[in-house]
Amino acid sequence: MEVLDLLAAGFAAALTPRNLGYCLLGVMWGTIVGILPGLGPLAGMTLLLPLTFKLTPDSAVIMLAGIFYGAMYGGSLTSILVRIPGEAASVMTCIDGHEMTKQGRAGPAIAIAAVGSWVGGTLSVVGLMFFAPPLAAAMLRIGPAEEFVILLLAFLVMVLVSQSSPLKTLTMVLLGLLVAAIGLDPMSGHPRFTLGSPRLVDGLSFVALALGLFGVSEIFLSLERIVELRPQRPSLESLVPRLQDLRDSAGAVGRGTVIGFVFGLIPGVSHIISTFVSYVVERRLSRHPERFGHGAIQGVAGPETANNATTGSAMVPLLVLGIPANPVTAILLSAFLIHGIQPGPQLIGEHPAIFWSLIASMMVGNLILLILNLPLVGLFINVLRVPYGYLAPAILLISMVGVYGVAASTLDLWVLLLFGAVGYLLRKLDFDVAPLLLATVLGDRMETAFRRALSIAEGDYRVFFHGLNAALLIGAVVVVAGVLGFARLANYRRERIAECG
Amino acid sequence: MAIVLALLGGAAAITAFRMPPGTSGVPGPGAFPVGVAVALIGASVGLLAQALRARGDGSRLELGNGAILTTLAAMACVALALERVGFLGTFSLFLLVTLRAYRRRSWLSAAPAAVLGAALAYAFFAWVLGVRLPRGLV
Repeated sequence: MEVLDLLAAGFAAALTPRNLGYCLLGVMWGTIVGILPGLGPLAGMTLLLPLTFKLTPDSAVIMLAGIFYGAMYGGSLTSILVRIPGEAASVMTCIDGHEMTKQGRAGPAIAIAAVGSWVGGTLSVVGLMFFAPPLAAAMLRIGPAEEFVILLLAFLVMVLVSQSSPLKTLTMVLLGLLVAAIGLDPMSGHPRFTLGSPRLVDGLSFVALALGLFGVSEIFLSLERIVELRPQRPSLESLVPRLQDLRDSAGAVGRGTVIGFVFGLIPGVSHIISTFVSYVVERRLSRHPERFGHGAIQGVAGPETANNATTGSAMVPLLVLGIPANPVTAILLSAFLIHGIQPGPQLIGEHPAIFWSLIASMMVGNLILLILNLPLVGLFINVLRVPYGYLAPAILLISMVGVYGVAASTLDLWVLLLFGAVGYLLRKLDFDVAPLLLATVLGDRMETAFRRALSIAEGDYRVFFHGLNAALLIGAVVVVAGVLGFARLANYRRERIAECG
Repeated sequence: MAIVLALLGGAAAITAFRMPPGTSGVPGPGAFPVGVAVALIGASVGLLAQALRARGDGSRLELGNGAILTTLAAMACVALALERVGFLGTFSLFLLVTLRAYRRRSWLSAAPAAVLGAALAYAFFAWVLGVRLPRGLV
């Protein structure tokens, strides 16, 4: 009953005209950035991050979260209409979604994607609501030694489950930890890697880093081959889902919700993986697997539900542990920090209004998207028709102004440029840049936890092996490393055997 | 890339090694970066070994094109000129160069769109959002 009271208070805060307005702005902008190939929720959130400096913490987080799950809705439109994923998580939707368009069934595909997204997004928020508070209470008991081991575990999982090779991902994590060390040492105040420049004592701008690695590099990748899109507009009547379509999709939506929620909890696992797993599961369970790849509605319903279901559960590591599960939640973390709030086990106790208003706004935002997205399909399609040759300069301009506007520093523009070029190069060489960004965000915290633990233990390294908590966590590290490492090895051997014929 | 990362790791390790040592068994500011840098060198060597083993598969990596190089140069010019020339002048030129590169328009036909785009951006960021932007010469 207490949960319901807190949720009611959350709704009261989320439904104020101000917060409702920011939620609407966030979801609409999120839908647009999700539609536009080459932009994505990360760039969309980073572009509006400077705007949040003047907002209250709850409004800032509500708006940015709205961009996150709004982009999941938007990405499906381009996947279905023109077979180009507007957002990486919509890749699987391309397969059957576009086939449905070719069969004259774009409307039902879009409608089922929207319904599945709403169910997955809303139910994952309910899961967040019940999962987070007891987990936060348990996490209040951890000290710096356990915090260090948790972060180590998060990076280990990232390395082992990354789509890129483990060695490449490890390199990115280590590079990110070095980048995080630029600036003043958090414990002693000694300058590190500042090259004698006072402009580097605060480290590198996170906004410039994130926009460069993801936004600018994505534009460079798109500039390799500029594609102009001419999507067909489905009729409004066809956007109302048929009863048969809803019945056919129900199972896929339910399974997609569970799959997405579970994968969203794991740090470093991209939500793309949840959509892939959902698609494979639906094809395996289907009585007509031959329909997949030829317009099976379950091939749209499952992945679209899964990618939205990750948005709620991805908040759990962020809000409860203060560990962003992916680069998008890393932006949310920076929004919290800008307002002087440290997410973690103490967040729900110290700032309950922010936690519960975020929960409520995610439910409201998902409903807004379901109600508005279908009638506004025509408007969103017109956005797709804007030539990329006009969009790209506009996005770059907004990026540079956004970055400069944070601290009025041209150094940040150079960081944007440098990491735009570096991000482009790394992605061309099949490096996953997300771990680099996550390590940059978490590096200082990991090092501080490590040194504080040793300080309390007076230099005794056995502190990481003492106590039930630390021992259990290290046991988890060993088990996870063993299981995932074995899975990788088995896969590697299978591939080698297949190559040898 | 592996060589670059290894060199970066080496430079970071040398720099961090010269930082003050810790006290009472607690690592100083350089300890963690030294450990990370050494691990980066090790990982980079592993990547290099992998790359050498995979060499000769016939594939070539194509990097960059005219539009990308133009964009890089234009962004560098913005960083250099923004505070001297001001927002309107700098970004009008930026938009002019990129519109011409991406849309293959003539200088004359791209100019009005570039100036208008920069003016609208200034109005939105400076007047609506209250962002402080350099005025410079223009």
